[in-house]
Amino acid sequence: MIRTLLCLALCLTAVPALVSAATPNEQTERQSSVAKRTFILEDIEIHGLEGTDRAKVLDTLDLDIGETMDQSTLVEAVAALKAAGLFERVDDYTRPGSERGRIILVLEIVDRKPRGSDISMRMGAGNSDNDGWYWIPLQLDFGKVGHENTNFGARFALGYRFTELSATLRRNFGPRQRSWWGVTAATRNSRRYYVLDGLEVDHGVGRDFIGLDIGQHLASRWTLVAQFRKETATPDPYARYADTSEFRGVDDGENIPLLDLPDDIQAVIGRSERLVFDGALAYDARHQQQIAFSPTGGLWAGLRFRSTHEHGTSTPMVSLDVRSYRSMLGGVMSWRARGAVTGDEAPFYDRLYLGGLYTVRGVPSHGLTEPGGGTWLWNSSLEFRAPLSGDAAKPRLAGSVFVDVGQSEAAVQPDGRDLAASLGWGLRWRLFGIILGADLAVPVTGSPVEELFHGNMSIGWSF
Amino acid sequence: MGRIGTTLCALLLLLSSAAAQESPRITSVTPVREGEWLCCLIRTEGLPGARMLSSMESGLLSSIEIKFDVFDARQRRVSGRQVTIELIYDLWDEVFSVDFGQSAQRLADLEALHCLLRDPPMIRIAPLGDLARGMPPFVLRAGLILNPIASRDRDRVEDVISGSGPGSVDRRESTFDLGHLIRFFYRRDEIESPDAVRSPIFEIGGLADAND
Repeated sequence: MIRTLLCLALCLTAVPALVSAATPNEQTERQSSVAKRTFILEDIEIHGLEGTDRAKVLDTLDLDIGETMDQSTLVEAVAALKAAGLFERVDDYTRPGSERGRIILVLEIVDRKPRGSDISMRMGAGNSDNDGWYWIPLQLDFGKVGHENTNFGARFALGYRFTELSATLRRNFGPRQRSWWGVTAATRNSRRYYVLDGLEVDHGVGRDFIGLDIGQHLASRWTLVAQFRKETATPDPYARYADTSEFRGVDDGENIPLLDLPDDIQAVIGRSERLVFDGALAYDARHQQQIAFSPTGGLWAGLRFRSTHEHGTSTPMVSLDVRSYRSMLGGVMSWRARGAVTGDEAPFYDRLYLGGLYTVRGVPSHGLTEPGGGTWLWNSSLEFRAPLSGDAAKPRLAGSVFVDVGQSEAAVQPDGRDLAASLGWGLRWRLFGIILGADLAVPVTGSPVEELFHGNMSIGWSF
Repeated sequence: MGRIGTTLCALLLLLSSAAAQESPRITSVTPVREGEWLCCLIRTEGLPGARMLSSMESGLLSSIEIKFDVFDARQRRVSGRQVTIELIYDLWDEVFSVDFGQSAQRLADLEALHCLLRDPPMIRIAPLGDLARGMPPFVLRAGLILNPIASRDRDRVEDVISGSGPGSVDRRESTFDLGHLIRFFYRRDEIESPDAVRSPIFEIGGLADAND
């Protein structure tokens, strides 16, 4: 009861602030209306080309003559051409077409002499459901390796729960370069979290793989990708407490020997060599216009299928993830629903877990499923996002209120209910172009650990 | 000077005038104060320019960005602001509309647009208190960026939301180019773009009042 009241108080505090600050100014509304106005692209004129093929420019632009589009589509296409780095400079403007509502795109290009390759060194950070936060101290991207459409990248990522060294070679081909193939090799060690007897535990799992990737942008909104890989998975023969409890007499980092781990985890300890097919189909019809860093409308859906072959048995996994966005009250109402199912033979590191930033935010990562994981889960979130300070589309600060619900097999059920729910609010802050976030959520249906609320840090929005 | 010479002179004048028209630029930057604010009066010529006008006549939204920077005696940037002016041509009513952010104006013809952009309204730059951390005297620099096809500096949806790619898991990453990082920390503030225009040097006490 106290938890519910606390949560309601938090939400009530946040909502008026969100609504009052959410009203986008007239400028944004008018600009949006102009940006949404559609026109027909009658022609594309390209001036200044020297060494580069016109077809290559058109492929990169990915615009069809005769296509109906809005200004943001045109802007995105020209931005993609500029970002491709083919030219020293690209100036763009339009001319009226043969009749009202038709335009001609004019590109004035300053070509540059071809170079052997472009190398970019990057660094950054990441966050994922399984691996928590990690740092990417070095990522090398080599453009145009041997062939204009071939790219090579290598990177090293390091985190409290995640270490990775990977290399990827990718080559685009086909009409408009909309298809690609590639090879990926990686060695990773991630620490899987689960809750054991009310305490957070992490369990290291090493994975090495080499895989063949293929993919194609099927149409303007559909993308199909597949990976066939040979993988070795090696879970550690022990786990570690990720928490200190004076009551239990355990310290953070203290090892838990194999025999003290649950039976279903003990059963899969050891090196596992397997073949994995991973395929996915994505549909993306989200609007590019944004309010509070979020699409103002549209739908995204992803269907994923994975089949793992080991010792003559196949273990499938299927998941469907649907996200919808709608602008209202000066902000965006975002909704997500996801369901996934896998086979009984799946080891704990391939199973499904509920709880944490990407499912039910009021509890620690994976805290609502037994340590051995579940064979099915579903979860859904409804989140209202609005700008709090600054521009409506790119605010300095944005806020959200949300409700998460979910259910899984092998559920922990802290208060005896099948359905887990949490309520909360969050903030997103733009710092040096990176959207940093924090969500505070109250576990309405109880938590497997002793806490009134749970905080999560994130990059951007979780869906 | 004969007829041919006169004709050649007229042609040269026309050509130089056309060249000036094709390269919009800021001609003067004058800092003033309005209460506790540092403001700026600028004069320009050649705006909106042929490319921008062509895009507007296609029915697209165009924009002019003016980047203001205040430097102190040590050539360190102490304050600044970026202002975006949006321009639209209404194909049905055949009028121009100019939005300075705070106020929008509808203009009946191109001549009115030229006049407005030649002598735009006063622009607030920064609270005068911001200049206290710098060493006087100061200088105000203004640079012009023209966007015939206006684009808001937006994040792509994929860059902000987790798990948006096909087959991707719930993961978000953000990386940045180390070259940009090095340039960010080692930039020399006094390096200026060739098109930027500087005001005369000024001190806070010597600023003319905008209301005078």
